[in-house]
Order: sequence, then C-alpha cells, then structure tokens
Amino acid sequence: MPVSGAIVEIEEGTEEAVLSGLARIPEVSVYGMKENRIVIVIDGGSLGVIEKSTNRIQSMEGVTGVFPVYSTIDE
Amino acid sequence: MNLTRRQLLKYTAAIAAASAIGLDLPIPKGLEAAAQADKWTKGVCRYCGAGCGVYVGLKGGKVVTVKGDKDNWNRGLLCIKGNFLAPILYASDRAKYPLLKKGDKFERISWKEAMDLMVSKFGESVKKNGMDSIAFYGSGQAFTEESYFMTKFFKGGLGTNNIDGNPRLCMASAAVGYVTTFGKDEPMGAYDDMYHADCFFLIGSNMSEAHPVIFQIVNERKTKGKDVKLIVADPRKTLVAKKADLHMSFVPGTDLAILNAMAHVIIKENLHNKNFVGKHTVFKTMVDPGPPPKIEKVTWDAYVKFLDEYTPEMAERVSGCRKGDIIKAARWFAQSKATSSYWCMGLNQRTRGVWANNLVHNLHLLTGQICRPGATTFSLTGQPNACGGVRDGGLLSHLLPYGRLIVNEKDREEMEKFWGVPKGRINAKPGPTAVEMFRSFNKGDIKCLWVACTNPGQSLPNLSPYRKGMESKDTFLVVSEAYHPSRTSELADLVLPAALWVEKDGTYGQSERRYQYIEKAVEPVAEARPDLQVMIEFARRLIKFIGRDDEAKKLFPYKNTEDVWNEIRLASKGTAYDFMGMTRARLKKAHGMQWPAPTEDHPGTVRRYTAKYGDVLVKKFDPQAEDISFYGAKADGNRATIWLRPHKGPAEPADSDYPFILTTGRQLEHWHTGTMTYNVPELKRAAPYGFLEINPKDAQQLGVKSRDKVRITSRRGSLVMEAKVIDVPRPGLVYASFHDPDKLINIITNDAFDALSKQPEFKICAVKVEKA
Repeated sequence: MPVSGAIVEIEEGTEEAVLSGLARIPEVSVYGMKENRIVIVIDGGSLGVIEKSTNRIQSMEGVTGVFPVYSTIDE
Repeated sequence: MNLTRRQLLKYTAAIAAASAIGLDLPIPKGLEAAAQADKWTKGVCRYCGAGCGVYVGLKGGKVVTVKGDKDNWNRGLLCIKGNFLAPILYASDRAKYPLLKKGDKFERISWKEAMDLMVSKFGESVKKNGMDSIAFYGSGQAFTEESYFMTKFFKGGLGTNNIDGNPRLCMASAAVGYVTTFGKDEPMGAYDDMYHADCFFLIGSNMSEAHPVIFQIVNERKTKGKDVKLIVADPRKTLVAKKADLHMSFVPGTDLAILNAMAHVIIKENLHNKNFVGKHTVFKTMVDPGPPPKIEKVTWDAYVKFLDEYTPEMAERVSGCRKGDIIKAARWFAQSKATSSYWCMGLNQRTRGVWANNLVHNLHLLTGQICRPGATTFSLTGQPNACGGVRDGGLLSHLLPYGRLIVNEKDREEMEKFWGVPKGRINAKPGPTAVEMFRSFNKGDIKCLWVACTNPGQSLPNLSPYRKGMESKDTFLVVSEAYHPSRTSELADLVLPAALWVEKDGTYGQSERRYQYIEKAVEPVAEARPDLQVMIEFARRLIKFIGRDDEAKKLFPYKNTEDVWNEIRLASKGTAYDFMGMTRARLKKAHGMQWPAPTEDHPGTVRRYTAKYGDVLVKKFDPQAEDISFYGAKADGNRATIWLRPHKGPAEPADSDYPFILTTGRQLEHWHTGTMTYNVPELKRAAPYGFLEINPKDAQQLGVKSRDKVRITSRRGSLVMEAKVIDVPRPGLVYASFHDPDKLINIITNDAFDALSKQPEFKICAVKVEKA
C-alpha cells in the first residue's frame, strides 16, 4: 500500500478552512505547517486512493497546489 | 520505541516533505534524544550512488543523527535508509580488532602481528610465484583516495593488474557502454536535466526503491508538469511502473529487440534528427567477436537495412511487449521537447549489458535528444563511489586513472612517467576481472587475495564454488571489513577492522560526476583503522620486502588523504576528466562539484560535450566545434557511435526443466549485502528478511500462498524462502532481493558474463519453484 508525503500550498487567510477540509479526509494526516505550506502524509490503500485524495485536496478552496515529494510503497 | 513498518514509512514521508520546506518536525516519542545534536559535520550518505549530501549530527562525541543538506542537489531530502544512518556506526558486530583464523576459530591479534603476517604471506608469494600470484579486490564504497592509491600500488608499484572491484558487478557495462559510444566513460548529463525533461524513459531501473530521492524529482515533475510523460520498461510492475504513462512489460532479456524496434519506428516515421546524425555520429558494427573484437565502420544505409527486421511486430513476438506500446514509446521519445533516459542494473547485469547500453544511447543520438537541458542518457549508479573511485580512478583491471587504458601504450607510458616508475613497469595485459579473479583464486593461481570494503562471499553470482575457494586452507584471504562476521569475513584467514564512513575522511564521486568531501566526525571504534592508513603501511613494507627499498618511500610519500587527493588532481590534469579546480578547500565549502573543473575558479560542469551549456573542454579538445563535440572519440572525428547491435537473448533462458526466470534486485529499506541496514533496528523491523515474489497466476498453479515456504532451484543451487504472492513480477518471473545474509540468493544466480564488460548476468537465470 502506498504512502505519500506531500506539501499543500495555500492562499493566505485560508489556513483554517483548508486544515478543516484536510481533517475530513480519513487517509490524510497533517504533520505541520510553515508559512503557506502544509506538510501532509497520504496513507492510501492504493495509488488510486492517493490520486483521488490529491485531486480532492487540489480542488479545495484556497489550495493553490499539492506537491508530492516522497512516495513509497508497502505491500 | 517500536515503530511498525507502516508508521516508519509515514514518518519518513513526513520528514521528507517537511525537509523540503525547511520545517523541523516534532520527533516521535522515543527518538527525541537521538535527534538532539550539538555539532554538525558535512558529508555524503553512505549508501547508494545518488550521493545525497548530508549533515552528520554529533552529541558527546558520537553520531546521533543525520539530516539532508538543503543546499545540495538532494534539497535536504533523504530516503528511509539515509534518515536512519547513525546506528550503522554503533552496531554490536563492528569489527574491533585484527583477527586471525586458527583452526575454525578467530583469535584476536595485534595490528603489528597482522601486518607482519600479511606482508610475509604476500611477499613470499611474490618471491616464489611471481607478482600475479597476489591480488586485490576493491569497492565502489571505498574513498577515491583509497582506490587511487591501490591502483598506483598494484599497477605502478608492483607491475601487476591483478586488481579489480565490485563495480565490475554493477557498473562495468555502463562504463564500457559510454566508452564504446562516446569515447569516454560517465554520463554527460546531470540530475538537473530532470527539471527540464518532459519525457522520461526508464529501463531496468526500480528508481523508487533503489534511488528514492532521485525518484522524487521524477515524481514532482509528473505532478507539476501536465505534459510530462513517463515511460517505464520493466518486467516488474514496480511503483515507478505503476506511476508511468506507459509501462512496457517484457520477457526478461528481450529488450534489445525492443530498443532496436524503437529505432526502427523512429526512422520509418521520419522522426530522426538528420542534422544531428549527419554532424555528430558514425555507424559501427562488430564483424568478429574476437577477442579482440573486430569492428567495422558502416553507413547510414547499412544501419537502416540492419533495422529492417526489427519491426514492432517482430519485437512483440520476441519480447511479449505490445507493438502499440513500442510505437508509442518511440514517438514520445523522439517528439518530446527533451527526453532523458535512466537505467541501472536491469541493463547492466546482463551478458548483453554493453549492447543494451549502446542501444539506449543510439536512440538519443538518432533523435538528437542529448547535450541540452533535459535531453540526456544517464546510467544510475549503485554504490556511492563506483564512479569516483573505481571508474574514474582506474581501479578496474583494464583501466588506468582518468580515462586511460592498460592496453594503450601511450597511456601506460604517461602513467609510468607520472608515477615515477621505470618504463615498462605497468603490465600491458589487463588483469582478471571480478569473476575471473575469484575463479583464479579457486584454482590457486592467485595465492593471496586482499578484499576491502566489500562482501563477495554474498554478492558474487553462482556463489557456492567461490565461497569454497575463499575458505580454502591452500590460499590466504585477507578481509578489511567494518563488520564481523560478514559472509566474507567468516571465510577469511585474516580480518582487519576497518573504520567506517565518517570515522575517516575522504572523497566520493557519484552518478552525475559530482565529487564531495566527507569530513571525519568521530574516531573509529576500538582498534579499527582507515583503510588508506593500512594500505600505505602495507605498500611500503611489501615493496621493501620484495627488494625495491628505493621505491618504498618515493612512491608513497603521503601524510594524509589530502596529499593523495592533490596527486589525483594532477593525474587528471589535462585529461577529459580534469579535476584541477576541485581543491580540497573548495570541496569542503561546496555542496559537491561536477567535473570537468580545470581551474580553481571554474564552477564545475553540469553538462559535458556541449560548449553552449558550459563545457569548456569542447574548445580545448575540438577548437572547430560550434557547440557539441564528443571529444572523447577523437579517432572518430569527435563523433559518437551508433552501433548495430543485434538482439541476443540471455545466457540461460527458461526451459522445460527450469521454467521460471529469476531476477534479483533491491528493496527500499536495505542496501546491498545488508551489513549496514540489517544493523539498523528500524529498518530490520520494517523489512526483517528476504522473500521470493511470485505472480498470483503462477502461485495459483504452484498451489502457493503468501508466507508459504518455497524451494527455488537453479542449475547451480537451491534455497528455501518465504513466498510473497503479488502482482509485481510478470507471470513466469520470480524476484528476490540480494540483501538478506541468511538467504544467499546468489547461490542460485548465473556467473556467465558480458564478453565486453565482463559484468555477470545477475538479472536473468532459469529456475524452478516448488512448494517446500
């Protein structure tokens, strides 16, 4: 099952809304935040889940980009 | 703290993401103490050839943690192994004292006793049986200074070419591939090309597990660039393959047909770059394999005719790869703005490894996808200093330092003069390569062998006869190792405890020609010594022992590693490798420098063979060149070679007796023979042992489930392993990593080797699999 570490870039003033949106996605854990960037880990059952979560985050109000920086797989 | 593998992976993913934005994450409970460092030194990761820059955290005189260097190419990222580097130094099985085997047991002896014995054994053998009765087997993990020193000592000091190293097992085909195509070894491009490429062609590379930090760049490019295409040619459905826009699965050993078919499509569809081909290439074929091979130049028309038979349909019949995929891959390769190819052992560890390398280069030369940002043909390296120490430094048995060859009289004379040894000292005949060396040791032709910083008792193919030879009482085996017992040191007559990684200082050169200095951070454990110190003492004493007193000091005047490094710079001066600008002082400050760097104000060279993108040596070696010049290939008018290389299958295809193909490789959590990673509790817990991957369709026919014990048997050996039923290997293929010291998969593999590179075919052998 794949695991992906990613950075979510957001617009100023949208922190609360985005963090609350991320909390509603069960496979996403938030690890920290610096300036307008949030560190998350997506713990997916499949690559499809990771992709679906990434797309869902990408479409959130205030999110300007989702950038996976580390992916690995554990099956 | 008892992290599960899942938690460990999640934590590593979080650290990697946090590192990329300069965020320090809270450390999980139980790991906080380890992370509090009070001093940091600069270095390089000890594992793969990616060469990630690191900072080493010290507390109370001990290494407690490691973090990625944000200012280096790896941007602060480290993989799971790199994140847990510190414990490798403090493992309970570190070799602490010299040990001598007496009967079946090892007994502690002093360094003086150890060196006296070694000098007398090697020296007596030289006196009685000649110079070629002794040998040295080195490593792509040794520092450049160590490998260069041993090259000089054996080839210049003793006059024997009985010196080779483990890069023969992993990179030799890539090295010979570059030399035969471009005239000189090593990639012309850099990791920076990944940021400019819009088409990635990965073949025979499980980048996500073997080079995870490099894979992050590909991953990012795929995510950010909507038009970025990823083509993966691999018989396994790896994570990289799963991420690909096009996964070309094929029967192992048939990729030469696929690569030729891609060239066929490119030409048939008029997608080749006529101007580039006309200006920068020649065509050659091998008319007689020799030795020595007889080569003839041919014409473009002959090349086109040669490719006639390699239709996509023919390649599909041979390889099982769909013809539509071959056509699509060829079009994407040729029509993208910038295509980069990356490969690793899947191409190199083959009896046709050099040819496979040539055929990838062919595609770049045909399409002009080379020598500009994003367009390059790049061999990824397995070890941290295979490029820097062994390929560049000339440790392999056919090489001399910095692109010079043993068979070339002018090169020999140049090095004899440089080293100050009598004319004719360097033996004109290349020495035995890795497998040949161990065969010779088995026969007793080589009587004394010194193995340093590597583990051939686990890593050689067709292991059983070589282990028997290493254990023989009729020969003398010295093993310099940081750990004991390893699967090699257990066979030794004499074990010398070696300082490891930041217990000494020296230089590593990684895949993209980047050299980096590793600062000494701590004292070696117990009586362990840096290999260079031991090598210098042994060399001085052996040279004296054989009656060349006058040379003993003159040849080896070094006081420290910097003295050796400065000689290395001089040896490279004026060559296509020119390191003169890479002073120790600059390397200490820089986050790596890429050669050529001919002067002390030169910033290093990101892309070779192109004046437009900064290679100053183009004008030096080829003053008439407007931009691109393959100046290593002077005899061909500074043009690269497009080779006519026919499809040839593996040495041992599957058959009715042995119906499966076994391929071996790497696993994310472990590295090579596991001496280091199996000593890291977090990694060992995450991946405790080796297993055999079996495709679900095959498993069903065999009546095997995951975790069942299966017996895998080849013509050379048999082993019981745990099965992992998973849709990763294609049907007919089984896969195992070679890391687990308790499951020696190499007793199964084949020691047949490539006629040109002498690299063995680890990747393909025929096996049968039964429920145990």
